[in-house]
Amino acid sequence: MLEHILITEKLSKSFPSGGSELAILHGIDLKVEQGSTCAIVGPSGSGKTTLLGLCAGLDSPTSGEVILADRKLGGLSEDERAQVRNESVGFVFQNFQLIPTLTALENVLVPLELRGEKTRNAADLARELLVDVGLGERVTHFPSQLSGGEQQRVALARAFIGEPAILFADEPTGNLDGESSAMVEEMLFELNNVKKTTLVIVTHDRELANKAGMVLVMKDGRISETTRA
Amino acid sequence: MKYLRELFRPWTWRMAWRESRRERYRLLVFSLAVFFGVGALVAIGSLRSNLGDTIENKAKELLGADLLLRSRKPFHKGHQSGLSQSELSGRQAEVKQLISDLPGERAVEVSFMTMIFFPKGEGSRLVNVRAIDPVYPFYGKAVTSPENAWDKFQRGEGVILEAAIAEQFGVVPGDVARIGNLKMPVAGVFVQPPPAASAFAVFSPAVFLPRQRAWETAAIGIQSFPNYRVYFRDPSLALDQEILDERQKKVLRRAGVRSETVEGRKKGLGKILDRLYSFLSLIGFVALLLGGVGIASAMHVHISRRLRTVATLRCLGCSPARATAVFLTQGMVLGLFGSIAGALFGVLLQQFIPRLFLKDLPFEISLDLAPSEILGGIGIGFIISVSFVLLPLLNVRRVSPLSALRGQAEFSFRRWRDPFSWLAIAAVVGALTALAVDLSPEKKPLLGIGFMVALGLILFVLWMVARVISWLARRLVGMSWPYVLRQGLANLYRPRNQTTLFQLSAGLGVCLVVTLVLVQEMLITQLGVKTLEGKADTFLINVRPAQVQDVTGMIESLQLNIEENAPIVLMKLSQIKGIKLADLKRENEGEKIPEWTRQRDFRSTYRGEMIANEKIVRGEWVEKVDLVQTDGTIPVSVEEGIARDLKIDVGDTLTMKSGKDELVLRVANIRSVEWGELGLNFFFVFPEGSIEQLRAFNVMTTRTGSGAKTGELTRMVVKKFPNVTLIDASAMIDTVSEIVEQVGWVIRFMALFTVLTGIMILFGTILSGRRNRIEESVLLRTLGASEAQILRILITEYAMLGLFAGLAGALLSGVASWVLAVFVFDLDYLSRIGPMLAAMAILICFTVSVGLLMSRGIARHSPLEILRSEAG
Repeated sequence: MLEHILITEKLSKSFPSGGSELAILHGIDLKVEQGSTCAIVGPSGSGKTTLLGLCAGLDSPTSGEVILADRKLGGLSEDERAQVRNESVGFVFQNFQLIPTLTALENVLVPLELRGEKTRNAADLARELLVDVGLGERVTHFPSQLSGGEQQRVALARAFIGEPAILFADEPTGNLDGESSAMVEEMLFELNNVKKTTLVIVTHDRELANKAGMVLVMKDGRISETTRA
Repeated sequence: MKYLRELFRPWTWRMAWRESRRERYRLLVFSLAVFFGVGALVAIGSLRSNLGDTIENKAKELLGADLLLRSRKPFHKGHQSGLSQSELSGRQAEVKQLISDLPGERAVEVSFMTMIFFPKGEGSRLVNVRAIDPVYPFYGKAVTSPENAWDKFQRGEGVILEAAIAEQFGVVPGDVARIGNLKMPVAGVFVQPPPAASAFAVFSPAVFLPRQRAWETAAIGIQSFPNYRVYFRDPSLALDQEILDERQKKVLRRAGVRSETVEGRKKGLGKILDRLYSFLSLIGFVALLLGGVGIASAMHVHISRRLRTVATLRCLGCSPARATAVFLTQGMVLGLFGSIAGALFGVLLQQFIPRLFLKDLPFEISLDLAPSEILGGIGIGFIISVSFVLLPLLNVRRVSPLSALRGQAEFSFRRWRDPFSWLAIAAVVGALTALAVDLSPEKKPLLGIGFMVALGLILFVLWMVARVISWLARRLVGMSWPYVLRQGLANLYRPRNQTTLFQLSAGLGVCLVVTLVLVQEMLITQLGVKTLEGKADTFLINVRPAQVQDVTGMIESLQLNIEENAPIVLMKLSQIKGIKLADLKRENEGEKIPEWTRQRDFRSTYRGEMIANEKIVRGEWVEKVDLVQTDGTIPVSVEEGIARDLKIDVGDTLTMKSGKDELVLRVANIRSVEWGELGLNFFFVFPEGSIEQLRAFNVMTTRTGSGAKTGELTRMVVKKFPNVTLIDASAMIDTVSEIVEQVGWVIRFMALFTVLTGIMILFGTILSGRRNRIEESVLLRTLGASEAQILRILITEYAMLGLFAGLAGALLSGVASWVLAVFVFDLDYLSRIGPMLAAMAILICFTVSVGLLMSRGIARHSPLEILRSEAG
């Protein structure tokens, strides 16, 4: 078992803007222990989502390094990064990001199918997970037939089906009402507890953030404060 | 390679199927964009294959013999040349020996143009008399009505007419027909005639006369354009065995005798078919290209709606290659579906086209399935679909997984900076050009490339027009304009608008169809207007000197004028610049002169003045000559083309023979002649006072202006003077016009497939935009817009789309028809606004109608109703 599942070293990111470079992140150094929960908070424009994207291998830094599950992402090709994401990473998005033309079951199956696992076994597993999140009766329903909270629970099931080493959640309760938010939060932390998946959550919600073991406060592209529970 | 690998993963196909849910109907509509193009190619290809097989199987029946020898001069004793043995040249004697050495049966024919007259109704017309031995055809059968007519013909008891003649004059078996001086009963009509002798059969139908009676007509002579033929059958021949060896062919060539074999006729027909097939296939190819544009557009819209899905998949670990493969699979399936459906349609069409356009073929075609054409059509449709789908697919590769986090995905790269894009474009253009070359006549690379360049230019112009429309709509529409007009015009440039696709599809369709209509009209008009306007339309040939006065009286009795009255003197070349023709090559007098000039009987005339379509190029015109002064040498005017062929100029001498008389000539001038003008044009024109005593006959022309008057004149003249032949030029031009019209119908029929493809794309395009319209309508209705206002917005948008596409297509057709008229067909360009305006009006009406049909219900129902029904 790794001590640190996620490490960033002097991670920086800037974008071209009107002939010059706009720096979003400035030399972020970060270590997240395996099996821990980490919340990233900060005002809009502080670089939270950019940091999340870099850590998950969705984007490449301008400088610095990301080491995820003991693999340096910098030297990897796009296909190799995709493979790392498939094997080691789970995602929960603010907008759920379910594929609208797939049923709940089919959405949950996608990570395993991409991995090439046998469909029958994967389907059984997917059904189990959907039951776990309280959607056992809705496996054949499309996202448009589900409420926001239900869609997010399907997204949770999808995120966990591959038994990822780390799960990134970007504002997982941002589009949910209070009751649904509470349900999703509970499931997130329970799944983390049971499956020992490292959790990294970007959120504006201080209450949610305080449930995490480590809270990173971002401001102007830097980590201004680190709090451990 | 990794992209290809991903295509073989079961997940790719599963995902492609699932991912297409809710869009299948719309995607299938777009897949049918290649339906008509493939259908056209398969139909034309299958017919070509059927015709080719028929020609192959019935080749001998097409010729009716194994070998045909033909000449403008008699070369067989059966031609009863009237010349004594001593008068036959060495070469003709050689031919006679050759023929007698050939094994097998033979049938002899003399054909000539003359008038047939039916005393019963006093009907008369120009016909092609085929005086032939009744053993012909050796292969195939002549079928007559009544059935015993051929037996009567064989016994020399009657003539057989083509059905058209009998129908025209109401002639029945037993009626008398007079051909020249010969009167014979009509034995019957052909139900299935023997093979046609020449292409001119279309102008004058045939009358079959027992050969031994031919000279009783007294109509065979130089004035009746005789043709002499001998047909051979040798049953011992193997299928592709040559009858003549090289030495024999040389003997025949030197004597001016042409040979034609079954293989030669097959090749000739095959060449014509191939050219027609290529031309029609290229038109079908245009429809297919348009279909490709439609499919590409469908995929572009489809992918742009799926970018968030692609971003999500990328987050979950899907590689760019795999994500691209999903949509490539969808594109391939669309292309395959459309191509297979198109091929089935093509097979159906194959059964109907012959009934519409090939009714008058002299043989029956067996309409069998042509698997190679069907598979080829499917293959071409599939290749084109996939080629066009590649371009929008390039966008999928570049979708960033980060877009999933940000919640909005978009195409994030500039195509011209991406080398893969250029590779894909090059691959597409290369594949399409290769196909165009393959389909072009004789597979000439330049033709195929030229075709693609022209098409590319047209598409580029249409694309530019779309850009200009968007720009203009943005710039010119002012706030003072009525809202519904502003909104309708704004829809032309809103995100995900249909302007470009519509311009390309509808504009190309209009351009193609209107171009074909304009060129066809120019061809027909040119034939009629240029050729006959204010000119003679009736020619009277072989008017003997003693008949001229009476014939003049007959013409004038009908209140007609004599336009021209040219005396004709027949002569042949014997020396050029003092050297005999036979010795010309030996003396190395430059290069050889054309063979036809050595054999030809020149029909020359004499007159004091030039006519309107002649112009002196060099030398002086001589009106009249005193032969005493010139010591017998006659100054002659020579047409510039023949002067070039004979390599003579002003001052050179010629010797010609007219009967037994020898004429010594000096070239007084070189004259240009507008041969395209229908009139009496001559290679050699003599001055007055030179050759009047050698006059053989006269040719007279008049302008009747109507078929009825021509008919009346014909009856009057032929009844009294059966030797005179009347040619109705306007009827011939009408026949040519009819042929051009028929060909035009076939071409327009094929062009219709382009139009239908455009319509299919139109349906699909408007269907694609339905969601946008719903969103817009919901918003407007929520803000208080009435049903009428929303409909007016829709009408404005569709009317503008139709107007600009129609206008662009019409203007392009003007340019295209000018290029074809001036550079391809050598016609005077005639600008015709009518067809262009008609095409525009039709397109506008159609676009608005389809647009309103596909948008039905949007304006009428409540916003919430619409949202619920669309979400369900």
